[in-house]
Parts: sequence; structure tokens; C-alpha cells
Amino acid sequence: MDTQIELQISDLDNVPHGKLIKFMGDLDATNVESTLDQVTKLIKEGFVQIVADFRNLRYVNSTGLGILLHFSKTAKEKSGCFKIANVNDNVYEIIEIIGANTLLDIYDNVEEAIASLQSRR
Amino acid sequence: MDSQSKNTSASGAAGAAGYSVNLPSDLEYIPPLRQFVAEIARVEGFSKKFCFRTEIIVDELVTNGILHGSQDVHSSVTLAAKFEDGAMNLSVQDQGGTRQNLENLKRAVYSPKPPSNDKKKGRGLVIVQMLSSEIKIDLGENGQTQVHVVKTKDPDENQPQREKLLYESDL
Repeated sequence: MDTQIELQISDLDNVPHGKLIKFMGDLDATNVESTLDQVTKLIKEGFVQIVADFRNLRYVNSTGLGILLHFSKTAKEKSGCFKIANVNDNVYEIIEIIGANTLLDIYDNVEEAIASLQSRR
Repeated sequence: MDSQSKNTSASGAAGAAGYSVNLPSDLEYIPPLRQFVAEIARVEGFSKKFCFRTEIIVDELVTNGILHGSQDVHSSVTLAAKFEDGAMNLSVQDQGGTRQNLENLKRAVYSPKPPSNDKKKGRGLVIVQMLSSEIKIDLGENGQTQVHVVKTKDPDENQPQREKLLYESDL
């Protein structure tokens, strides 16, 4: 009985090797493994320009934050990036407490995150 | 969740605002438990931010109890929560892990620092420290570990106004 988390994955127009991932629900210790598997699979397939939309991510705990940092590190190692957009105040506070706000690329909205990817090209 | 077969029980009474839950050492029980405690905080009149922080604290402490304070799947973790005078008193007791688990817990509570960025775990108690007013560890005679946390209302909050429950009368 995992906590509900759903990842909706779609292509990013005009961004080669790009994917948009919409996180919906709660990210915690009961579902980090399945989340890790899904995103790691994308990165292994070469989709290393990733934008994560957190508009509907209600909750994240330390275990969830751990894999977000892992995604960022893994994507950067492959000359890509893992950008986050639409983070709610509660989730942002947790990110900030562990200092991950200086390690993760965080944007106000998805459009800004995508524009930053396009300007990299 | 089968309360009898899974050895899970909850007790509480409106007005006393004290609750105790015993759950098996299984991560699957944490999401409903953390949401239950956050809901009690809401009913007790605490702000949404306080409730969210409560949810995180419960999650991190119980996760630690299950992952590091349980010898096997037959172990259990007990959470007790009490809300009074604008504060939450929380304690999480596990049945005791290894000596190394205990040393790690002490280090994390009394001299917390985040792990290196490439580690996926080890940040939970850093978060609890930052969100709590007080935290301490007690050790039981039989190796049980009890972590106590006090969280007072946030400085920008008014005194919590407790919601009346449906079965409470005005008298």
C-alpha cells in the first residue's frame, strides 16, 4: 500500500533529450524506490534534460529529497540537468532546511525552467 | 489496515488531547499515521504550517524507528502525541536496534549535520531538529530507544483555538 504518487511523463517540445515529469501526490519512503526506478530508466535511455513539475506534489520527506538530489547529480554527470518548478511553500521549506535549494535548480514555473533549457543550446 | 491482526491500536479522547498508537515495523503504516497526527493538530487549532511540520516530524521519527530501531518485522514502534498549552509533545519509542544504530542516533540528534550530497539518506533528523523546539533521547533498560520532541506553536501564530468535535456538547 504505497502512498499515492503518480508520475506523468511527456516530451518537451524543442528540447532534445528532454522530458517533463509531473509529480502528483506525496513522495516518501513508501514510494521512493518506484520513483527512483522510473526516473533512472529515463536517464539511462538518454533523456537527461528533465523538468520536474511539482505543482501537484503535496509532500516530500527526507527520503524523497535524497532521490531528488540523486537525480540532479546523475543528470549532471551525463551533461544534462534536473530542474524543478512550481514548488509549494511547505515542500520548499524542507528543501531549504537541508540546504538543497542551493543544489537543485528551482524555478517559479515550468515555462521558465524550459526556457532555461532552450537557452543552454 | 486490520487493527487486530496487525497489532495496531489507537486511543485518544477529546479534551485530553493525548493519543497513543502502536504500529508494526512496516513503512506502509506511516502515511496514514502521520496524516492522523497532523489532523489532530488541525483539530486542536494549530495552523496549516504547524500541521505540515508535525506531519514531517512524525514521518521522520517513525521511519527512523522502523529502519534503525527494529530487530525484525515482528517489532513495533509506539508513538504518543499530546497537544496542550499551544505545544505538541511527541514521543516515539522503538524496541532498540544495534549499538551502532544507537550511536548514529545520538550523533544525529546531538550534533546533527547533513550527509554529503551524494547520499540518499541521513537527513531526517536534521529536519526534525530544525522544525522542533526541543529534542532528546531516553534509553530503556531493555535497549528501547525513546525520542522526545516538543514543538511549540510558531512565533507568528495566535494561541490555537481548538475545534469542537461533533460529539462534544456545549455543556
